[in-house]
Amino acid sequence: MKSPEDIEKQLANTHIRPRDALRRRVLQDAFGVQAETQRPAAESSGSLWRTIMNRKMTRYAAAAAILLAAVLTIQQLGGNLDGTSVAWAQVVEQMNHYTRYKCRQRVVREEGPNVPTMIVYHLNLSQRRQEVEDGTIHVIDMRSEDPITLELDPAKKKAVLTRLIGFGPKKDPDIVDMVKRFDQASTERLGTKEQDGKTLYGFHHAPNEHNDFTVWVDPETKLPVEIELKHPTAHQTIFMDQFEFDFDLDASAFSTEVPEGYEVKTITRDCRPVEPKVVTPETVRRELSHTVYTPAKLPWMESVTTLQMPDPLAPRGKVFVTLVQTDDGNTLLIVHGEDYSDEIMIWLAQQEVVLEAPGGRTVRAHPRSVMYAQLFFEGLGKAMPDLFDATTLSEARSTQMIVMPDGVVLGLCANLSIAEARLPELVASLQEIPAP
Amino acid sequence: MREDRRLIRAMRRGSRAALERLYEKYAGFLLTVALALCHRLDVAEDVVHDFFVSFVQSAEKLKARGNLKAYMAICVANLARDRLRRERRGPGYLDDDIEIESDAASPEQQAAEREQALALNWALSQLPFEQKEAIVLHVHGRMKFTQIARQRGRSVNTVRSQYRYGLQKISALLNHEVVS
Repeated sequence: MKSPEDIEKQLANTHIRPRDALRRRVLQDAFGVQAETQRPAAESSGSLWRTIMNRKMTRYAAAAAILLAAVLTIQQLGGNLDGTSVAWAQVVEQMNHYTRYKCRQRVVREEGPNVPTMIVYHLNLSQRRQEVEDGTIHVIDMRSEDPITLELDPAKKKAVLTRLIGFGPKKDPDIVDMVKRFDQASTERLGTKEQDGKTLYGFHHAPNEHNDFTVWVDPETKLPVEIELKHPTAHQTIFMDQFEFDFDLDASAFSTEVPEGYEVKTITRDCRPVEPKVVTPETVRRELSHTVYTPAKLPWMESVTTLQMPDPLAPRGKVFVTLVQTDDGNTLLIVHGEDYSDEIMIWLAQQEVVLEAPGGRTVRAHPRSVMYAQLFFEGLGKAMPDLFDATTLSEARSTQMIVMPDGVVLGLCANLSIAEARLPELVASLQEIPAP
Repeated sequence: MREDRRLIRAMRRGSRAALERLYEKYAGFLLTVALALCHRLDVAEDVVHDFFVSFVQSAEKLKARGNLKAYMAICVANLARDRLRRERRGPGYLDDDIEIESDAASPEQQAAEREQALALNWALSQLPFEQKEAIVLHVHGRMKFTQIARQRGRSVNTVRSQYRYGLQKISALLNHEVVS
């Protein structure tokens, strides 16, 4: 149950990232307007500046003022006049010599599940290896059109290989890369701190209210020793330390080939644009990594059609559904999920059991019943208007989850209330589609 | 706030870097506000674009005092309301191209966060404009009810009630209670 306080917190934590296209459009137009509005002012202030500087006395006074300002600036920023201080531009210059780095990454959250500490080997913006404190290893390679993530559990000799078809190539939202892009003007110096007998120089940069960076730099190498990224609105802080730039690690450590002797589970997510179409249940079985169930055609079902359509819950990718038209004017949509992660579906066990059917099949309530049904029916109406008219979407729409004994979960959206006797019949009629 | 004042002064003098910095600092926030009010990415982006252009146009008249963020949120809310009135489009839902700020380590966690945002956006879209405006300005713009009331010419109690009813309705919608 979400209380108004939970909603408030969740709203405050939702932030939308503007697309690059918006940035280009806004800045191009805003710069144009700025140039228009500035022209007369810039000309007048420029000529005034020239008039002042042409006066001999003013030139000397100005030179003294500039010198004084420079001294004051250096002292205020915590630097030394003997030249041992570090300028941010020097740090960026040094960092730009390296594309790969290794570091320890810890996340401290005020609430919510803990994120395990890990050693991250960052080979480039598209390839990294994460050695997690629980012993698992993640290798991520997003260079190709079809990025791959490989999760290895050496203790259990188990591997999960996930292929994201048509998702890439992608670049990592890398923190060190973000740090490289801080500009001198908006990076504030924090002075120094002593650590392990070394003096470190601090820099602070808060590009917006969601990100607050503190970077501690070794004055000898001019490279970061610690990076702290606070997310004030998300109530968490990411700490990165134990940096090693240009680490030495065999290229095989970044391979997404599963080592010999591992039991492999392969998950494929198709992120390519989806053409909505009617398919067979066998096609669905071939494409999904788990058992597929479809309903037998019961007397009250006017039609049963299996379809593929764009996933209304994801930016890309497809979803398989079975559409059932009933003789009482209802439309049912059975959603076949791609795979089931306990991490995500932890909420399911907390939902009310609506029906316990024979054979260990159960039906549970869905926490976002109305919304889920609306998104799927509207998605269907958009993808295949001949099969569902979105204007007939009912206020009585709902969603329930059918949990099969082998752990497969099916979403069941209904546009109207399902007649009481029909839900058990529908659940009992679900037939397993054998693997090809 | 001090940085904002400095940036506004620099922007007035024609500094592109200052304008760019203001964009980097506030574009995400303003897009979040606009999307919470309009529910369509294309409309929300237009609102943010129009805001920045008029912000630069009126830079000379801007008073570099007070809370810039609240001022921006009010301007974006005005533009969003005008836009919705003009277009009379029904509520939309999170578009495919929306990127939610996320530190989720795995694609699965990202999907879960995205679904939560989707649910919230859907629930917000079911509220009358005044209720969601009160919520957006208070939660995202961090404006006090008295400030919103002053800006909108409503009583503080009205704004407070709009806020409370709005949150209760979202809560009911997300908890699958029947909302009339």
